[in-house]
Amino acid sequence: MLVVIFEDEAALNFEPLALTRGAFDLKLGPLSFAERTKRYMKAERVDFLARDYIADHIRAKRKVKANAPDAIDDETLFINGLLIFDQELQELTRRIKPGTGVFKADRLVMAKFGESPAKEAARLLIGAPGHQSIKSLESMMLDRKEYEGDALVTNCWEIIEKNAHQILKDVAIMPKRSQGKVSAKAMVVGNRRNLQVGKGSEVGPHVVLDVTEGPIYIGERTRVHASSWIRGPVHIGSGTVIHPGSVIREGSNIGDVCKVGGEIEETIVHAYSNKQHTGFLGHAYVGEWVNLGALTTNSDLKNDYSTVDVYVRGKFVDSGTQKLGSFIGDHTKTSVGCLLNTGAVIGVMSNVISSGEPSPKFIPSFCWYFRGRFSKGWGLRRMIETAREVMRRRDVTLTGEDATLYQRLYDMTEEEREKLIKRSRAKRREKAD
Amino acid sequence: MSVESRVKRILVEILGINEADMGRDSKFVDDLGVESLDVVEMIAALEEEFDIEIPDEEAERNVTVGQAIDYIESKLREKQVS
Repeated sequence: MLVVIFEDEAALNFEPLALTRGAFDLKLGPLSFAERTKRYMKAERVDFLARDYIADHIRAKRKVKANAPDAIDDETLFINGLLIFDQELQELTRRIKPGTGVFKADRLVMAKFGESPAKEAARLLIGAPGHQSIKSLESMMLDRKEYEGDALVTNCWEIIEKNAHQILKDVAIMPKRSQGKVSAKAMVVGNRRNLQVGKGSEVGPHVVLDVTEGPIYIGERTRVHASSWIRGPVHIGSGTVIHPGSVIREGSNIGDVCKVGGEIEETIVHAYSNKQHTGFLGHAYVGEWVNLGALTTNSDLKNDYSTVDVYVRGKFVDSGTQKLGSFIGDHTKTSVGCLLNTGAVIGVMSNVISSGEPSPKFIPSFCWYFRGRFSKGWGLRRMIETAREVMRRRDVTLTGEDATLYQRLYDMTEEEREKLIKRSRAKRREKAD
Repeated sequence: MSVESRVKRILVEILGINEADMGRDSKFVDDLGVESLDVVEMIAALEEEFDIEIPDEEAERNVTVGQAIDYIESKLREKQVS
């Protein structure tokens, strides 16, 4: 049976993190949605259905089939890319018959079709379809089942809420790590079996590893420097550096080849991002190739303890949660001393320069925020040049496909960016008058 | 106020230099010590002041104060025509 992971319209709720990747490639716990599904399904081949530009990009970068309905050559299981897959769901996939759709309200959780109708279904699932396309797909089904669980994610803050618990679950299905070195002068609090340190990794002296509330899982070739304090559940990827004296609190999930210092809590950091210095990041989600300047700090709780509003698809939405930090798109940089507002959403390749005040709650992609002013900064060409240099320093090449992706995103986000820049100019003119 | 005066006022505000030290031939980087962040702020402030768009590649061609003034005057003429 072929497994095809698809995006539905909810993928758009995850921008700017989902601007540069399929929603199924977002991390929740150490694994992305797609990686987890693939592991549970034990699938050798997984195809994808996504927004067109994302499909073009992942096809070029990963040599997988994306938005290729004609490549379907078997009975096919379609799985929503924002489904937190587990054993129970895997069993559900076996129980449903071809022609069956499983729904959570009007969202499709999964569907199974024979080869021929599967091609037709795949066509309807291209481009992060909304309710109407899903309705059309439903008309092809012989049976509809309701999904009662809560594993289908709709909004970005749910990822933060579920991350700590998911670290616990994912660690159980990940390879066991035991060959790393832990200094005799480090202290493990709790059951040592809850600590896994991968080959080539080193934990320095006077590091406290508290596994009483959850595991600490460290990948390969990672260095945790002296006097850091880590409290599980925590996942730290491979090739990452945790600087001396860091405080990595529960629910932190740090990717591969990152450099981290200061204090982090309940935060997800994708690969190749740096938060090297003192400063606090809590209940936040950081994309790839992000660099947060020294002392960059995000608020994750408002002083009146009210729930946090988040910018989603052009408007502010009440997240219903009190604790929420920043969402930061790929390749974004902050200057030293940046204060990021509660629930701030910062786009792809943006540049936030400290003005001493908390940042705006929304900074569009490819935008500079500087001394209270939104501007286009150096423009796309130089932003890409910077990204190329940043990647080169980690022996990664920015490819033509990457540049095409950023150009497309630049065009896609232009209207929103220009609107804000113009509004910012008008406000300043009014003030000056 | 003339375009020249308005441009110079913005440069004085952003760069913190005396207007007397600034001639039409003054080069932003070599003579006035303009740094990369100043350039971004200057462009944003000029766009704001004159309600015009300054594309990056055109901004890069203006290396002296006089060139910037001429450029803005031509943009304003274009704006009036359209």
